[in-house]
Amino acid sequence: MYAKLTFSMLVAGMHPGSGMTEQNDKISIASLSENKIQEISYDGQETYFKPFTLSESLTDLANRINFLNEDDNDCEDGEEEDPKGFHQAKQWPWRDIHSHLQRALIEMNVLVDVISITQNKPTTLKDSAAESSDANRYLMYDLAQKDSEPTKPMLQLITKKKCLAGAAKILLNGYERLNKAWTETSGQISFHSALLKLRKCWRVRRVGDKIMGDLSYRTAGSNFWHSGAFEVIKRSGDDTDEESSYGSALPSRLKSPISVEVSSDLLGYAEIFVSVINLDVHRDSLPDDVSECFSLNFHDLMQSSVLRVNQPPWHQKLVNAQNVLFCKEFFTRLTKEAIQLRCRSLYSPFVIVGDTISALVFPHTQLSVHLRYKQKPLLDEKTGNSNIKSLFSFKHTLLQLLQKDHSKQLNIPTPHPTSAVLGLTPEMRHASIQPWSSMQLDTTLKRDDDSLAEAMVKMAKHYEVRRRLAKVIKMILNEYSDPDIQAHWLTLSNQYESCVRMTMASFGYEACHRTVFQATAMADKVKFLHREGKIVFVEVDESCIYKYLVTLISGHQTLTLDKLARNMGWNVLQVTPRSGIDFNSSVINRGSLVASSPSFDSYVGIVCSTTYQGTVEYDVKVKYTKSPENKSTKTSKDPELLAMQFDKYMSIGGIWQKVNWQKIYGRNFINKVETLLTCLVNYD
Amino acid sequence: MGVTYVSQWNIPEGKNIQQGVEELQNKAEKLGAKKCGLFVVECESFHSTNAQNLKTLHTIHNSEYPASRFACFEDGSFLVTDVMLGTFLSKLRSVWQPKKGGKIESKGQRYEFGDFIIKIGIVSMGPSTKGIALELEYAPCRFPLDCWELMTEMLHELIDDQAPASLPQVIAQKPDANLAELTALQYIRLFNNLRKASMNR
Amino acid sequence: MNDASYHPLSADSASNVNLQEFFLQGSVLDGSIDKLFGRLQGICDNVKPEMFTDRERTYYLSTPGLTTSVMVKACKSVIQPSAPWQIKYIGNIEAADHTKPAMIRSNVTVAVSQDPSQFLEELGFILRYEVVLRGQFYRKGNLKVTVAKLLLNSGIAASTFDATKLEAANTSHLVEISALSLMRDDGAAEEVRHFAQLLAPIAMMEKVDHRRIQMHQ
Repeated sequence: MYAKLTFSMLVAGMHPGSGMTEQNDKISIASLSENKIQEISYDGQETYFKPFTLSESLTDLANRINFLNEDDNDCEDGEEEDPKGFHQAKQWPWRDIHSHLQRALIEMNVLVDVISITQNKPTTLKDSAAESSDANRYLMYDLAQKDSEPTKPMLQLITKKKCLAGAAKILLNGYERLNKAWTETSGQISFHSALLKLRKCWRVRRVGDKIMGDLSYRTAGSNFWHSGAFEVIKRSGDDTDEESSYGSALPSRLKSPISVEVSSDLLGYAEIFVSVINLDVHRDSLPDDVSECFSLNFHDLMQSSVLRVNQPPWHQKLVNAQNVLFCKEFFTRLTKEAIQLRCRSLYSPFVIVGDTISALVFPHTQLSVHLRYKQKPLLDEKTGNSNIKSLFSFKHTLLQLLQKDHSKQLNIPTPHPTSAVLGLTPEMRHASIQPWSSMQLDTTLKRDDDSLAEAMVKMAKHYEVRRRLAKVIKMILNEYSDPDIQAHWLTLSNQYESCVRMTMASFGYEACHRTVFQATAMADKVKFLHREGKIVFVEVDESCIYKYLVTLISGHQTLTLDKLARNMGWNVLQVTPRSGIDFNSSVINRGSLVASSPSFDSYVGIVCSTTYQGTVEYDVKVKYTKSPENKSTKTSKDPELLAMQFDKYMSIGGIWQKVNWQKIYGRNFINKVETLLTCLVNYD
Repeated sequence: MGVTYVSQWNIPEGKNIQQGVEELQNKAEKLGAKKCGLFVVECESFHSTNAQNLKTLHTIHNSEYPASRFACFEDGSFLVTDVMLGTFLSKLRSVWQPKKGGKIESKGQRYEFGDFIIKIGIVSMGPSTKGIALELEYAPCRFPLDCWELMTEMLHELIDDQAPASLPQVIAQKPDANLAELTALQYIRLFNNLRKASMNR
Repeated sequence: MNDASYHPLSADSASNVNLQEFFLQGSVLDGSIDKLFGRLQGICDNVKPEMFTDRERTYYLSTPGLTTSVMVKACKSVIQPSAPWQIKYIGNIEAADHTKPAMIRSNVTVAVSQDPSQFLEELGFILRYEVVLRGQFYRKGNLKVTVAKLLLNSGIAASTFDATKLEAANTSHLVEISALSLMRDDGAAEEVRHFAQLLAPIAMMEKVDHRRIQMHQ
């Protein structure tokens, strides 16, 4: 039988450091077995004394009674004492256990303290005061009081200095090593670092034990036959020779350990020179020709020595070689096209002589392309001479065309889905599906098929046409001050077309009437677009353009007069801006106007005609009718009787009389006409 | 691609095909149409060797759309393809074989008259000619119902007595179909009629 | 492009030009695909490779007389839906030609205006399976190189195509090199083989005996 007793109060006091909680730890106590072991046999079996039977237990109890102790108060005290004794008897056997447990607790506490000290555990209590008053702590830390040493500043200083010196020494060592390494490497650029630099700009590959490179445009889509290969050679250091050739201008770090070998036909310098020359025999000098000289490199390497210093010599060499290759390819391409081209827009076909391709685009205009190739750097003689005001230069367009061609070769649009045929643009793929008629196919697919030669011819022609148009407009502006003519060249133009917008208005009468038109210079013709929507194409000849502009002037005058007369209240009986007939055979165009005054007193007839020589002539006549105020002017030819009888016949008759134009007041033609009209109106 | 009308033109009594064609051409030229080259419309038919599949496949090659070929099942689907259709079908020769005497074509002059395109062609199957086919196309319009009256007027001018009274069945059945399909179907119908007519003789 | 004499837009082209395709196929595990891309970028033309996603449906037509069926594929691009459908006839691989460096089969591609499924069904073709190929397209001169992953529609219904519910069929990419040329013009075969050698050992492209694959069908 086991008896479990709870020593709650006892244990609560014994538990270290848990004064706050009221945990009741239970201790299980088991009493020893009631039956004592009598014997343990050799095989481990225990034999217990048999428990007392009732009779035996009675006997045992009887043996314990001491019959000899006789008390009078046995009955009474015994009853009282018995409970006490019983209590005491109860407590008494646990007292031992209690004390044992207490001792065990103390020893456990000590053990715990020792272990915590050896492990340097922080205290569980917050302040050390609480700790020292804890009843369960038997061993604890206490701060040791150190004796304060006397301060020795000098010693401290010396030690600090020593430590700092040690650290500084380490740092300085490191710096020196790095410095040495850097000066070593920068002083002589090693072969590998130079090669790395080369690889950043150029395609290089190892072939066997040689290092070959590729400076052609193959990877950009070019099909030129030249392989553009160069070889990279390690230079073993013939320093003295190099120094003497360069002089002392070059710093030593440009001496590169690598040099490149380019194929011999790419050595030297090349340039393409395009010019449009006016072969007019009457001119001695050629002030108007276009000289455009271009090569691939957009910044001129020859002239800027600053750039030269920073670039290693092999880079320059390779760039030059690439330039030569490009110019060669361009020129070869152009030659091939020039031979094959059946260009109807040329006045005379292409003539290819050696390095020059030339053709006559107009009877006196020659386009020539020349490939200049020299061993030494070329000096640009003619760049200062160029009067180029063109927005689209030959150089850019031709370069662009060649590059576009390259990229078309390379960038073939991917077929989606991939099983479709390679090489068709999405437009072409839809052409068969939609379906497209043959006309649609022709127009859409052959739209941008300009070869280099065609583009160049077109641009040259356009340049020439534009030049002529500009010249004619200047001439007109100089000669005619009467209607104010203004010309604005539009920036909206491309390499094949450019536009000029012109306005004609008489000074002071701009609100009255204004003639506005736009002239477009195209490769083959000049197109005039008028405000009312009329389009006229004029030949490229200067005189044709001049005459057309003059007819426009006279037409403008007539129309202005028409508006003016209406504004002033005059009745316009007839206005014809353009009629092709005239009594005088030297007149191209005759514009006429007849107007009558508001009261039909007088008539005015004005003729503006353009002659074949290109001048505008004016003829103004006035007729006074047979109104009572003008009786003095009637002639004998008029039927007087009729006129006097009826009023309505008053406005018939009269003869046309020419006006003395010089004497009329007015700064321009329209002004003078206005004066005239004002004078002719009679105010009653 | 415009709305087209295709029909057979009956030759008046007593004239042969050549004269009939000349008559039509004269009429067109009198109207003011200009000759603008030749045209060809070819049709090839295939049938299946598999006995269960009774459908006929027609492929049409129209010179007006040189980059395309048209494939049409009778009462079935219609496809516009590119020129490789012939090669494709030749690979299927084991299953789809060309019909005997299958290739029929309409060849002749092409006239342009403003927005109209008039094609007068002789229909022939191999060496033998079968009849005359007339095609009128009104290029700007894409909806047959909208321009039918205009086309009827034009047809009256050209072939007064034989002008159609109403929309042809092909167009009336599917007025919203693809214009290429309508043209193809009309040609197929025409060729079938001519084939039947020649077989009946 | 000197791509045989295929002029899709000229009316007078010989429409019976027979094209043959030289090709080699191989596969790469997904893990090493980057190495393959790098190598292809270096070998092929200097253009950025393009991604493509194509739906490919394979139709078979069984003829009563012959043992093999005729195979036709209908392809459509998902990335560019406006591009036309292509029907591709794929002939049988010319067998037993150990001297030839690459596999040869005849190939005719026709562009069509709309979904050809009804047309093909009326011709007698039966849809066998549908696959989506997604990958990159490289080009070198006349050669077409495609590196693609096979994706399957996770649903079984072929009519409902959902571009988002595609799952990979396996963990590798299919590499295919092909070149088209005229009949009896074998120059392209050598190019194909040479190119394939450059891709080793990342992708081993060899002639595969397709008969063994076909027998499993």
